[in-house]
Amino acid sequence: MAVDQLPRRIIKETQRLLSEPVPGISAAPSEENLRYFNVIILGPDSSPYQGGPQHKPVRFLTKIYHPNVDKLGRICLDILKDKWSPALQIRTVLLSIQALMSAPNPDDPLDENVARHWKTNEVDAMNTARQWTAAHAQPA
Amino acid sequence: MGGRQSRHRPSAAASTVSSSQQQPPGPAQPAGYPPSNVYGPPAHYYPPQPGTYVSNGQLYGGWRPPYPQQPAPQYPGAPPPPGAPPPPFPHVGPARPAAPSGSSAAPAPEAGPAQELTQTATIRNAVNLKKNTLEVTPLPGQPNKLAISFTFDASQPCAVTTFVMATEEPARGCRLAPSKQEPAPPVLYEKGLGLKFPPAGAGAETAAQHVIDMSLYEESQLLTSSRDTFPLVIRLETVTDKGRREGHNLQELSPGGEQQPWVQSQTTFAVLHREEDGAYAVRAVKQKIWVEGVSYELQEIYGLEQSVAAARADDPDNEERLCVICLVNERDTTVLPCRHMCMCHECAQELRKQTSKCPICRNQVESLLHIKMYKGPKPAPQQAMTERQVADARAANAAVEAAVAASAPGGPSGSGSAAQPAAAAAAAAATTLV
Repeated sequence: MAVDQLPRRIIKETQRLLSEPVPGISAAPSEENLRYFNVIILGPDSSPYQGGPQHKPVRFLTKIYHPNVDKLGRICLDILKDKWSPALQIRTVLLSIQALMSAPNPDDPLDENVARHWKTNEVDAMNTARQWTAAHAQPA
Repeated sequence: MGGRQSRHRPSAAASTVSSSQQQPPGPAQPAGYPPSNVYGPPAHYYPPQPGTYVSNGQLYGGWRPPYPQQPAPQYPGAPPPPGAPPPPFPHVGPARPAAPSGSSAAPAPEAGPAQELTQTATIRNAVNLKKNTLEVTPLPGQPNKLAISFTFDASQPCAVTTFVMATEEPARGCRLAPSKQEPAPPVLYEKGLGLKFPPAGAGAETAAQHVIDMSLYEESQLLTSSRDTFPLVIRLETVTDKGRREGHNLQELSPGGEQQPWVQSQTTFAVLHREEDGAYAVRAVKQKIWVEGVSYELQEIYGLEQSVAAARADDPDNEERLCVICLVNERDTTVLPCRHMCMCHECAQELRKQTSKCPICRNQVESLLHIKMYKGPKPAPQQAMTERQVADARAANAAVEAAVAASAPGGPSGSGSAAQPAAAAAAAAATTLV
C-alpha cells in the first residue's frame, strides 16, 4: 500500500513509534499492510514473562499463559472493547497491554482455567507462565 | 488510559459559561437537551443577547444552576413565548451597535452550522480576579479578623467590594445581601494589569476594612456554603462604554446592590477551610460575570490553554494542539458538558455518527462547541501559576446552553487594538489573563 494513501494519523503514529519508542516495546509496520504492526513487547521485569519477547497485533502470536489471553492469543482488555476511545493510539494500547502483562486480572478472565489456576495458586500459575515464556517466547 | 487524560488539566485561563437565559426550544437547540424550563434558573430570565462580544482571555457560556435541580414548576416570571421569536441559539449574529467595549466586528457565523455543533460568540471581560491569588491572612494583632488579598486585571476603571457570608439573589440583578457584616466602602481602581488588593497606597486602612470578622460568626457557618450563600464574595465592577455615554459612573454603585445593565462585573464566590496547621485558607469556587443585564457563570475548558500555548509556540508537531483523532488539524471543538477540547470540528462531526462518548473521558456527549482559535502574537510572558484542580464533574453534567469564546492577546493596555483583529478574524484565544 502506498504511503500517501494512509491516513495522516497512521503515518504520524508510525513515525513517532519509530523515533520515540516506548521502553520495552518495539513496533514496526508490516510490509504488506502498513495498517498492521509487528510488535514485540518485552516481558516486563518481575512478571513471569520477563525475558521473553511477545509478538502480537493486538493478538498475541506467541503462546502466553495469562488469564486475560485465550488460546488464540486474543486479549481481554476493556480499552480494546467497550472502553475504546479514538483518543487512544497504538502507543497507548501497547502500553496497556504491557501493563496487563505486569498485572494479570484473573477476576475478569478470558481463559477460565488459567484464571482459576491463578486464583487458587498464584505462585504455581506464575511458574507455569514462566515455563511457557521459556518455551515459546524466543529471546530477542 | 489514565495517562492520556492527565494531559487535560483544567486551566483557569480558559473558561466557558452558560448563560442565564432559558432557551426556548429553537431550531438550533442541540438535540438531547432537556426542556429548558426544567434546568433553567428558577427566578430570573433575560432576553437572549444576540450581540457578539470580545473578551480578554476567558470563555463564557450560560448560567446554570450549580446543583442538580428538582424539576421546578415554571417560574411565573419566566418568559412567555413572545410574539417575535427570540434569536435562535447559538447567539452568533451581527454585532449590535451597542455591543459593549466597542467590539464592532462580529465573528462571521458559518453558514448553517450543524445542529449539534454550536458556534461561539465572544464576550469581553473587563475585569478578572485571578482565582489562584486569592488569600486570607490574619490581620496583625487581630487574630479574629482575616484580611482579604488578591490580584486582578481591569481594562476599565473599576470598583472592588468584598462581602462576608453574602447571599446572591439572582432574581434581583444578582444583588448580594450580606448577613451580619456590612460591606466596606468600594475601593476604586484605575485600569491596569496585575492590580493588587488591598491597594498598596491606602493599604493598612483598607485592609482593615475588608476583612472577615470571625467574631461575628460561628466557625461552622464560615466553613460551609449553600447554593447562593458563600463565606466570601468579591465583586469587581466597571461601567460599560454605553453606560459612560449615558453618564453613569462608579460612584453611583452601592455595594452589592442590584446590578444595572450599564454595569459589567465579575463576582468571585469563595469558601473557607482550615489547613492542616489550623490556619484558614480560601478557595474560589465559582465566578460569574454580568454583561448587559445577563449573568454568566465562568467555566474551564480543559485543553484549551495547552492548545493555545502550543499554537503560539508554533510547533506543528506538538500533539497538545492537534485533534486527538486525526492528529492533523488543530483542536477547535469542545465536548459538552464535560468541556474537553480535544478534536477538530471535522472529526467531531464524524465522531457523532459512531459514538456519543467523549474521546477523553467517555462521558456522554450532549453537544459540541466549536471555538475559533485566534493565533495572535505571542503574549507577554505569563505569570506562572499553580492551577487548582477544578474537576467539578458533577456540575458539568448540567446542560450548558450557550458558550462564548473570547480573546485579548495584549491585555487591557493593548487590548483596544489587539482585540479588534481578533474579533475581525472571528477569533478566540485564551490564556493571556488569569
